[in-house]
Amino acid sequence: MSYDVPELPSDRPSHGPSHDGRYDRVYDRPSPTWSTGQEAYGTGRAGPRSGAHRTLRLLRRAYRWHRRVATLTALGYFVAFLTLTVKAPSLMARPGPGGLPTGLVLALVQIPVTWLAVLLYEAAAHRFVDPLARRARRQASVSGADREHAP
Amino acid sequence: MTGFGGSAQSWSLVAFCAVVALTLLLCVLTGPEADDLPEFYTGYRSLSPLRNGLAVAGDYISAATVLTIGGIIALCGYDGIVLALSALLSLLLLMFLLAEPLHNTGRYTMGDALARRHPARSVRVTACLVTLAALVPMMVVQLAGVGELLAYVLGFSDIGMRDGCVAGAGVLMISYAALGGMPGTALVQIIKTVALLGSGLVVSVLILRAFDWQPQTLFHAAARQSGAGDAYLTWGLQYSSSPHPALDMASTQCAIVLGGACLPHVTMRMYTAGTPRQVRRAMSWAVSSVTLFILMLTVICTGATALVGHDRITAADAHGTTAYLLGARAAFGATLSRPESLLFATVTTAVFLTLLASVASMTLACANTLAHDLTASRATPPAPARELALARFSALAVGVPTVLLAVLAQRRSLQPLATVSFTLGASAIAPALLYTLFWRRYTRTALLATLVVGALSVLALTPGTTLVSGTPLSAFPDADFAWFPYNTPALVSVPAGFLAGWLTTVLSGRRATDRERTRYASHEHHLLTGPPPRRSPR
Repeated sequence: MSYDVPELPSDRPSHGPSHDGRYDRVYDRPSPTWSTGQEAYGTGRAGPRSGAHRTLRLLRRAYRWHRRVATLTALGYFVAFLTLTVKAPSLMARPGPGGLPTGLVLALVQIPVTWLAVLLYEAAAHRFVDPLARRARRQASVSGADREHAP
Repeated sequence: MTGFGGSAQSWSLVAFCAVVALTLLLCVLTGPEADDLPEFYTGYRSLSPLRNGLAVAGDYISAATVLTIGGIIALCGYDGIVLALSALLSLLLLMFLLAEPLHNTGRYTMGDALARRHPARSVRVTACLVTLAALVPMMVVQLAGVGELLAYVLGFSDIGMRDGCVAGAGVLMISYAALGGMPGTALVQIIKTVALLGSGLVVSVLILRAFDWQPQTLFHAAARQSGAGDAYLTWGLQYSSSPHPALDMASTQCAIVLGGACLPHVTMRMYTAGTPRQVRRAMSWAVSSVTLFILMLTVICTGATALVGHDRITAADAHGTTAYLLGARAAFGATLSRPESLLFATVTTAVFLTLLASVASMTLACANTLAHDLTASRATPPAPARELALARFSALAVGVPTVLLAVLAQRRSLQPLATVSFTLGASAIAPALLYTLFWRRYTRTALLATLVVGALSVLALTPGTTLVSGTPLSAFPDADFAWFPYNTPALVSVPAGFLAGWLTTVLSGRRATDRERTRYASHEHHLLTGPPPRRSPR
């Protein structure tokens, strides 16, 4: 178990040896906060408390938040912009920066904002979603390999 | 009236022929082997994110965007810009919401993505029919646009010549789709996007230079020349003749935002990337390029109004579809030197390639769904070589009737057809995909209800809208059988599509929805993490 973090207790007694060397990334190592406590209750890895299941739940939650925040922000801005256009035409026709009507400026601002939104979305996905997705994929391939080895 | 000098015309003709020869050659060279089904449908999922992104952008920037929205920007200013922005928002929402789940669940077609959860022949057949109903009108728009563009740029008015141009473009689109498959059309799309963005950038810089790099000078000059004054820079010019301007605007935006990016020829590019991360990357490139293009479209088309004037734009075409070309031509000044004619020929060629490439992608999407969705649910699916031959034959079978329709539809307003496509995307495809991917209790009957009710309500309401008859700019200006006093059916059909799915699910009972919930749970891992990485088959 040369890759394991030293201070971890031997957390997966039932299927430890067969996993040797598989945890070669940080996020694949069972983290002490959950694996030591919860793993003792569950026996099978497909049970509701097993690592794979938990990763999937975390991944689902991460994806959901990621999607919701991004979509609602983009859609919200546009709907607010349209509502203002229709309901407050005098406000939108008032001269804004550069002598252009405020509405037109608000419309043109959406172009640089879109670029910014794409950058933020990519960065957030890279930070919050990708590691979990990779962990879930690896756990799935590990459990699939185990199932193949099982008699 | 052509407005372009002789040298610009001859350069354009030479450039058109060169581009056609070159792209056909490349298409044949990159095309798949005779029995290589995955390569024909997806190109082995081996396209790099940048190239895939440019191809998605190419698919998304269709003639409807360049010519129709360009015309509305030139004639109505603010309203056109808002339309362009909603088209951009649609692609952004595709990236945020659907791109990764679609990539994870779909294999080759939209039918695959829907049938992963509800594997049934009825689902696949309905998906195939909805795909055809959404894409064939759009193809007719593009092909009729080719005839108009060639007649305008090359300066002939003979009707037979126009029909010949449409038929020639139809033959080209069928060959791109049938010979090149996904890798071939992707290559054509990439060339097109690069040509369009490159030439557009040069023209925008020239226009901005003509106004001392001051955007506000450009917009004020356009407002002066538009004949509408300050109304050009505020809301309402496009909907001024409508009895319900606010509702018309809201429903048009709704149709474009929901429907624009859900059309199957755009979503099929989600399956050509390798991993979910690559899809995201590709979509970033696509959204960025489309954003750049929308910016350039705004500059060029307001520039057209500012430099050429409202009257000459409407004289060339009542809907202003040639505004993009007029703006580009005006940016070069009164007389063209040789390099300038060459540059202008690049602009016209890029637009020509836009028409050809997007129609080729739509043909491919139709052919794929006909060949794959209709055969995949059989007890014994056909051999790969046979399915490939079927796909190629389907490209022909879809292409020929479309060309005939396009010949008939020329010289009419094409807006109703484009509206049918977008609204079908928004009322049938968008709710079906959103519910299938994210709603656990969604049943198979509800999926069928969404698709059928959404599609039928669009097809039933469109003939009654003011786009088809009743106003001078309608497709049939002399007749008046409009009974639905709005310009798109989206106001009714989009809620109808969403409600049909929701109601059918709620009414189908506890046991059915519980079964769906379990089934969703068993697919969830796949939906979230994607297909296991495959080694390249080479």
